[in-house]
Amino acid sequence: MLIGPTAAWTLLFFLVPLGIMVVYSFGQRDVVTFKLYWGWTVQNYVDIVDSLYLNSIVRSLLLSLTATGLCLVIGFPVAYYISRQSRRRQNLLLLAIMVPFWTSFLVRTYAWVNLLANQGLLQRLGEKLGVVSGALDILYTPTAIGIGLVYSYLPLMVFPLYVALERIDPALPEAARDLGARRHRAFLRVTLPLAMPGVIAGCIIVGIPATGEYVVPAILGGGKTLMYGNVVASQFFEVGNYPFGAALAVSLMTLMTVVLLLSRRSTARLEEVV
Amino acid sequence: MDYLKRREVSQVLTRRELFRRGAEVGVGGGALAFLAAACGGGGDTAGGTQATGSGTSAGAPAALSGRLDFLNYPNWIGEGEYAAFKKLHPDLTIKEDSSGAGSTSAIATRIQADPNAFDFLLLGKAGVPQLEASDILADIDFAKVPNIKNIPDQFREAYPWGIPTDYGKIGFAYRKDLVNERPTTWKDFFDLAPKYSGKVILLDVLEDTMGNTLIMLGHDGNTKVESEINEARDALIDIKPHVQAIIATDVAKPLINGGAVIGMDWDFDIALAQQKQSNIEWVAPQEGLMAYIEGWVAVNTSDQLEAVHAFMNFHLQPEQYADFVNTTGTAYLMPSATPLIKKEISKNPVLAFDEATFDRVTFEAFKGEALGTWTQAWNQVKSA
Amino acid sequence: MVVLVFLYAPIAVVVANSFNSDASLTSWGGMTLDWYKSAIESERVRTAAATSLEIAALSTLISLAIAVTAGLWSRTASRRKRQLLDAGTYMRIILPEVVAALALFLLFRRIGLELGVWAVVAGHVVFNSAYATIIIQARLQTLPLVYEEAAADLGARPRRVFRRVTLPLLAPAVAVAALLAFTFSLDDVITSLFLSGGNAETIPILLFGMARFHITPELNAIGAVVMMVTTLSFALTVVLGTLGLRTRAPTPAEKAEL
Repeated sequence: MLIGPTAAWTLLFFLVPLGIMVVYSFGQRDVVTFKLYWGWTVQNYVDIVDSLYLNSIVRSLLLSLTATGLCLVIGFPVAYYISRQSRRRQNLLLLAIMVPFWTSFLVRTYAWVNLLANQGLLQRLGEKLGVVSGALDILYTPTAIGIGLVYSYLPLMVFPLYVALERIDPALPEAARDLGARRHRAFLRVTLPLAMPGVIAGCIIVGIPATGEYVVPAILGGGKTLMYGNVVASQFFEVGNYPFGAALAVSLMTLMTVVLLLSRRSTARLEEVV
Repeated sequence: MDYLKRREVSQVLTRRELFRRGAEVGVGGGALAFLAAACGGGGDTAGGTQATGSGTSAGAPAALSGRLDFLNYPNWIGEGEYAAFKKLHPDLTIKEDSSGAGSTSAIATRIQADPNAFDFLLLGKAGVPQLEASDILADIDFAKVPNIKNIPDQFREAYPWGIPTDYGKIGFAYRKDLVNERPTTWKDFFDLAPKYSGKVILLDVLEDTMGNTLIMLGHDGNTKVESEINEARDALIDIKPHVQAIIATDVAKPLINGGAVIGMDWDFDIALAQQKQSNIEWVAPQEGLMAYIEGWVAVNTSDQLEAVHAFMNFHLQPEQYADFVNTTGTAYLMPSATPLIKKEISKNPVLAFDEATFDRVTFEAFKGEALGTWTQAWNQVKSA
Repeated sequence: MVVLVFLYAPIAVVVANSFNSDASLTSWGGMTLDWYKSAIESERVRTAAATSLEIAALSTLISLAIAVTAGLWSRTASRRKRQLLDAGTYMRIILPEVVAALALFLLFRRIGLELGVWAVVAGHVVFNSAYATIIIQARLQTLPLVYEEAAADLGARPRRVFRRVTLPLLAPAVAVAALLAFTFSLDDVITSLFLSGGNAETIPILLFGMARFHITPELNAIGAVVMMVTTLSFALTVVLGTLGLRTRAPTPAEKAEL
């Protein structure tokens, strides 16, 4: 059966471990001796309903939305452009987009710190070109985080978009134009809807992981913001309260699942239209 | 020889970073912790320690063989130490492993899951008591480590579980050419923050930043009293709008290039920065300051405790210890090694052992049950 | 293309700094190849690079197999079944990596599986296959069954239909999915750290360990080297691939030009 591999892998390496995780979230851990107590307490979940954690979740969601939006706005034209090239150029461009990501994440992100710092390269370049005077003051601000996130997630958005756009027969929007529609209309009413599966896929591929993102905000934001990911990480690595960390993870997962289910419902409707 | 110098410079310092950054730090530890927990929690020690050979004299152990697994930050050891020890014991190999180094929960889990994961490890005072509580530590027989006499008592008292190897103070530094005042206390630091708004750096290590704030407020830097912890939290939240960044990598960089004018940092980091920017002035505040102290402890399930003791003793030989200090650039604990240590380190007022400063130092200690409160407070600071 | 400049600016910095003789990277200290020398000479770096590439290749191949089979199945599956697949797919990427990795770690220890390269691959495949499935599905949705039906009508057996019709049509998506999966695997930190058990040090793990207090030129050099090696191997694969691919469906853009 074709679905065999997927089913097996998902079951074995995803669902079973997840089950273990959920069980953990109902346990307790002594942070002094690291002894784990199994039980069925909901204390962990109760603890989550604290403004500290809720705020971090909200902040992460907002960050994710912004990052997704920006990636979409920047990524769509890029994907469109690529999809209109010859096959050879397409491959080249796609490769060109991927290559930067073969340098390690850490090294890349710190390169941004270097670029954006006051006295950094961007500042010096700006001064030379005469567009900047005084301190740049970008590093360690939300702007820097935004730049870093878009940088990290752009390929994730471009790829699904490209895949969907590439298949669209240019004859279709062309036909629309021949029938008298203006360029924008042709785009909005023909190309865009046809590319929708790619848009949705891209938004999900970027949006979901972006909610767990905390390393980029830590490095480029100067560690001044607390993201949901920070909380989970500190639970696992510093405090050692794994059950609580597990509960946090399960909560976010549930939230995301709900969001996805809702989005799938609207996608299904879209698919029917298209 | 220029190249060698460059290498040394780049090898200086490590860890803390590892200790602090969530994703960047002992992830393995988290997993391991979970695992250990899964496999029945409490460190069930299989009592694998071999009876210490009664016949071996402390200074000259019988030829050792096998493998020693050492959990250490990468290369936080003298350049030639492993090789030199190998010469003494050709049949013994020491394998260094860094997965989880610095994160107590990581280490505890790893050991609980696999008692033979490693034989000894480097860990700071702030974390060792947790290992002790989980019944993981082996008792060190100091009769077998006679070179411990080279370490002054005050350090031995601060780190009794094994051999202390190094320490680092956390004070602050400022650019004397960009700051008109001459601050000498933490209070000065906090008072100057609004004036130099946006040019203040804090260290992203909760024990140190919160600890130093507590000291400023007149409390114990390791306090477990919730109201005091929250007081420190509020003081930090107050100056947060003026803080440029809370970081633990390249902390001194903004000070070097002038992007920041005052910042909390490790002493050796500042010493290094001063080489690049002579206008950086170090301050060990009058009220007191936090410091970490770390050293080597052994795991009680190890079957190589004989070798562990031997290597510990070896490390504390002035020549070997000096090699360690010269390679890492850390502040050091062995006065008798001073003649063998590079002038840049031994003569540096920032790093040198100074009674007056030392009296003001509070070593990071284990927070016990208050760990949750500390983490909570720190998260609130970060979240503000 | 402004975007390309944007993408490559930090890379330019990384490469430039890899030659910087100023170890603290606060200024330009002069050009030097020393960092590259120490990076390449270091056995630890070489081993880590090899491990990284090995893991990436393995996880990409397996992920693709899973994704393509799942995608094809979903085309003819009932709505209910498709929803189930979707749920499984999305769930694999929703879960924060920390959690998934931790959970897997537990599982492996419980069943006594040795941690190392294969454990890491297993972990990577979980999310890589999910991303690949999404991409392949997005492509399949725009692919009418017409071509395959035509081929079948003309007498081609299912396997032949798959090889000569479906696969070439899927090629762009497969290539894209492969690229994505390979990159994720190469750059992955969390899952790798959890499941390597100290036996499989990858480049990201090594770099994170080395970047304690300072980002040194040596780190930049390592990053640059890995990038160049990977680019070269990919370029090679592409060249070989284009040479071998004789029959392929022309892109709509190309068709329009005809």
